[in-house]
Amino acid sequence: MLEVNNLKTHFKTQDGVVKAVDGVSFSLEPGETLGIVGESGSGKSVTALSLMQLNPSPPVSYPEGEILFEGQDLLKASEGRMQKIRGNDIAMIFQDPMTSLNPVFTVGDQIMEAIRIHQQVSKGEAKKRAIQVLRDVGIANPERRVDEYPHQYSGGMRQRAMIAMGLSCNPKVLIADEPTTALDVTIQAQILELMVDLQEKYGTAIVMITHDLGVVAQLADKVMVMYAGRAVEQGPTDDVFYDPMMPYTWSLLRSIPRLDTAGEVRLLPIKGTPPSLIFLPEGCNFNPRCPFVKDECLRIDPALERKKPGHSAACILSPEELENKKHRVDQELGVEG
Amino acid sequence: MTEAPNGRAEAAGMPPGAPSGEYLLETRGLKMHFPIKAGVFKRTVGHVKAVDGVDLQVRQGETLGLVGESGCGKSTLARLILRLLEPTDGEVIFGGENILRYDRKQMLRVRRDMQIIFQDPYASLNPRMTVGNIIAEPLKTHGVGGSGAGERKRRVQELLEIVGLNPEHYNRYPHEFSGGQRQRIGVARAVALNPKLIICDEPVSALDVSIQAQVVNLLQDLQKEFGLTYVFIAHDLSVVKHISDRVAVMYLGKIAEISDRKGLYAEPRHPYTNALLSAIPVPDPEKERARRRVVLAGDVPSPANPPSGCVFHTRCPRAREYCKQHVPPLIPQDKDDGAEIGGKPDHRASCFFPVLEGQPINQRAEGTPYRVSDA
Repeated sequence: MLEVNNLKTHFKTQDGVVKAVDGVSFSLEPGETLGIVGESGSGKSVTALSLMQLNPSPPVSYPEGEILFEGQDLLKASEGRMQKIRGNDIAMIFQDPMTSLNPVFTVGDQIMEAIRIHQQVSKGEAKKRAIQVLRDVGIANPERRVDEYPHQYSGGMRQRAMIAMGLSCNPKVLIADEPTTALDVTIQAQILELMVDLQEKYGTAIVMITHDLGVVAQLADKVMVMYAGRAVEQGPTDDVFYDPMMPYTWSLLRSIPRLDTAGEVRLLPIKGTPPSLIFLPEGCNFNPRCPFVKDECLRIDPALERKKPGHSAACILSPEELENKKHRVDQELGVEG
Repeated sequence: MTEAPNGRAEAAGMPPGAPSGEYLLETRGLKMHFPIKAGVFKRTVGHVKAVDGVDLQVRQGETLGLVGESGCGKSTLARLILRLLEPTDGEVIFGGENILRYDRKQMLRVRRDMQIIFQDPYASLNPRMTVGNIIAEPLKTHGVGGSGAGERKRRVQELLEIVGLNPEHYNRYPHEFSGGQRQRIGVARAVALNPKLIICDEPVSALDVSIQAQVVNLLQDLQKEFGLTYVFIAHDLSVVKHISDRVAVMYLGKIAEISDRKGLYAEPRHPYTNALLSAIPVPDPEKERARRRVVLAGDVPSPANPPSGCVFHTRCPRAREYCKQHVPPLIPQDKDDGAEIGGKPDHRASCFFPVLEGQPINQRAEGTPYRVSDA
């Protein structure tokens, strides 16, 4: 349904060209969830905004690639066509519900706006639909709440309202950009449960962008790990978590304390910081921080290649070499298995 | 006067986590009620009960984790312990004395021994001061680390090296450092005076995931080296589990449950602790598929108007009529056969109907209130 091929999103700045997204490909079927993981600045949000064609132009350019939605290339679609798709076929939930809701309109008005842009319905009908979606996302008393302003909602309710808006036109693809990062864990659990329920009900495909590997493990069918604007590992969720083929993915999994094993093993910090997107390192982008770096890594810039069926990674180490090195560090850290 | 960096560790003479009879820090019935003022005459119309009767004990050399959702009062509690806020009621006992009775001079002296690391490494460092001056400031204020500028500079460079920064970067400004490096500067400032206690207020929450481990490991190494005692505040229960010896869970200004790490994570008794733990996703797809979550309904109530009785009853799946009318004390928890949970006697929860082994959490509780008579 959605197919992204070799997407490149570049921004021209005074200091040079920022290659925010540099050759990313993935596909998405109805009812499927793709998790995109990465640190801040890895290009995951820009990828989402590219799908929606919401990156500010002029600085943005798309030198290569295509975004095929039901066979049509969105990069070539007119602004008028995009307006029909945005919100109707592909909807987006943003991270911060406080800044992405308009404070001077009621929540109801903002949901009705989305409905009335895409569907020929009366105001009364649109309001009924708005109340219905608010009820769907679990807001108590939607008849009264629909006429309230965002500041009268709590943080969790605002995020629910954002989801209600995103779902108001039954989109085929829902892009959720860190939808629970600003929320407390008990509210996060509510919101994630809600998204899964709604996905089962409507068969929506979800692109879940997050830095929380736990959220990905909980929701995603497949995962794409991004680093410095590139996809460095891609595959089914289980494969990526249990047998990561890119040292970055593996290091991330070892660097976070996990609720099930925390306190028993020492954390493996990833040295240094993510690189500047203007001055990328020679060779592999991850080589200055990689625990398994070899001489070749400083020269060869590895492409994403297939390591197992459906599972690809950008690393020149052979699976056996990687396995040995992972094993050695695990023993030092005290990780079992 | 330049003290060797490990002078304190020898003086303390205690391995981290070792229990001792004496507490380094204790709070008794600590309360902070912020007045809500309204109208032309700014009359007080109510109070936000940010911290509402907290008793905590922190042992020398241990790490006490303090977790809770936003607005539960954990940061306010941190500020009360350091006396950056004057509490409405209660006592803060540090090294055996109630510091709330101290005058300015005595307070200045005791502040050498208690330091804080803040959450936001961007807001907590003055952008107009060099890193050297930021770290030297506490040394100057307290007149330690050498009298001359040269001696102090050596001490600062030593501190930079301890936290893993290049001592040559002494003259740089905070904006020249990344988030993780800035947090290291904050750590260097906090350990500069060889304090006994460091309050870490969400020290890794603002950092990227790959950087968090650097700072967590640094804090652990420093604790081992200098025998530091930490109060580690965070909303992330995984990080707290990783670093803490004991953990206290806060809800609406009160302690819901407190225990050693093993007891709290393996056998949470308070329904709120249960819900918190079950809400956290684990980066393991198979475990995630097998998990049953306790999803709490609704939001945290306003601390300006907390619910009657047990403050958690509005969201508690086990709550009964009794819970609405009675305030639960922190009740010691042990196994049915009288054995202590996790081998230590200090597992306590403020719940009349704690979740005992094998009990369903999603149902209304049955039976009589737990051990209320002997609490």
